Amino acid sequence: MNFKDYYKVLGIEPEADDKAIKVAYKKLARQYHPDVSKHADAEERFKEIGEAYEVLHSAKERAQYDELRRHHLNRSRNQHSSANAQGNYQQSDPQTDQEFSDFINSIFGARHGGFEHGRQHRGSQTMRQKGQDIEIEFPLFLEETLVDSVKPVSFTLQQQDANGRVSDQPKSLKVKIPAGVANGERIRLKGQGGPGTTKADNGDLYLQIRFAPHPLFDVDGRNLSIVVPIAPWEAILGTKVKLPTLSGDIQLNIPANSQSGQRLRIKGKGLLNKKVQGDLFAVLKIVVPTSTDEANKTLWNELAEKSQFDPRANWSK
Amino acid sequence: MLQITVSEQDRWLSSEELCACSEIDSAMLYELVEHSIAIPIQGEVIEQWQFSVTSLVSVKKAARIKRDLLLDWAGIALILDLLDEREELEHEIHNLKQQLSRFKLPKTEE
Repeated sequence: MNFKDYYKVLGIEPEADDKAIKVAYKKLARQYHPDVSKHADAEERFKEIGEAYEVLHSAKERAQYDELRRHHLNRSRNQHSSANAQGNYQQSDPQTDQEFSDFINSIFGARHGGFEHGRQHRGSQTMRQKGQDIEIEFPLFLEETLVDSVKPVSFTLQQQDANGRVSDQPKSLKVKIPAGVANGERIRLKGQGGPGTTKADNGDLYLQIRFAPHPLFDVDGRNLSIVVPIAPWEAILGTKVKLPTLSGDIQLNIPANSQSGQRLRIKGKGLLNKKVQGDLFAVLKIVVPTSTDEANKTLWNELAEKSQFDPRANWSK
Repeated sequence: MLQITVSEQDRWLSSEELCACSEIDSAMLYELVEHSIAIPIQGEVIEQWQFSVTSLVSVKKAARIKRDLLLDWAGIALILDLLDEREELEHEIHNLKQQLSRFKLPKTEE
């Protein structure tokens, strides 16, 4: 593990007092906490910030660290001057790095090698420990939410052998999901996570339901919407169209003089949620042909001459 | 391959289970409920309370934020509300963009 300058990590001077350390930590922690931050490297940065604070806010550990840092700076200075003479400057120093690794391990424990988000590991592990909880996204097609559906799920568990070696073990299950689950809903499968140590309980498996994007339907809570393209004459005269729904096609009546963007409600053709079925909204979109032949142009011209319709009548004159 | 049928119990947790899974005690659970960080779906008293699994995720998140950001429960409740609001707005923007794209013209070569 390479030596880290915790004062630089927290953006403070080495002479900073306890209050300044706490203030710097709080400010950076708010910025990089993985539960609130959108920074791409939030997890890594927060780990580093947490590690720095953990070391510097304890007088004893800070004194040990300061000693290590002094050694590191002295060696770097010496290395720098000799490297300059040889024209070969190296920044890392294996001796300090090893001492730093030993120091970090003595604080956080060798297995983890540092501060982990949401959990501070100190010293040896407890003998009896619940297995690892696993959270995975579980994609479902909209059609699959209307009925009970059986789907396979595969994930990787970390298993530790008697010698403490950790290895990845693939695990597969089939899960029967009841009809009517909601997007984002979480389901807990008790005991299906990582194995516990020394007769402790297994961890749990959490499935977070994620609806797969649909080529036709958009989801809004338990309601669905679908855009229905219609020709200008269909909008004016009204028509009947074959409308796809999640449970098969239906006939939709489009009333005369319909507008683009108008929403027509089809009751009970949305998603099932808490035993109530939502609605489907057909959103009308008037489309015109991309090219018009002479015969059609004549008809449009006739309409243009005879129609009194002014689409911009509401504009102030 | 093992097949598991998801039952109603896999979607809800008792107070006892919620405390065990998030490593908190009942005193802390009372505080979380008082600040609406955990909201019982049903039940009048702690022994009868039932929570959604989503509440468990909120409780775990709240416990992490409390420990790492050194904040009080009122501050954490505010953060969680704002995070939920941000998520809802992002979701709404995503939905509106998707609906808008269905109204846009397909790209044509000029």
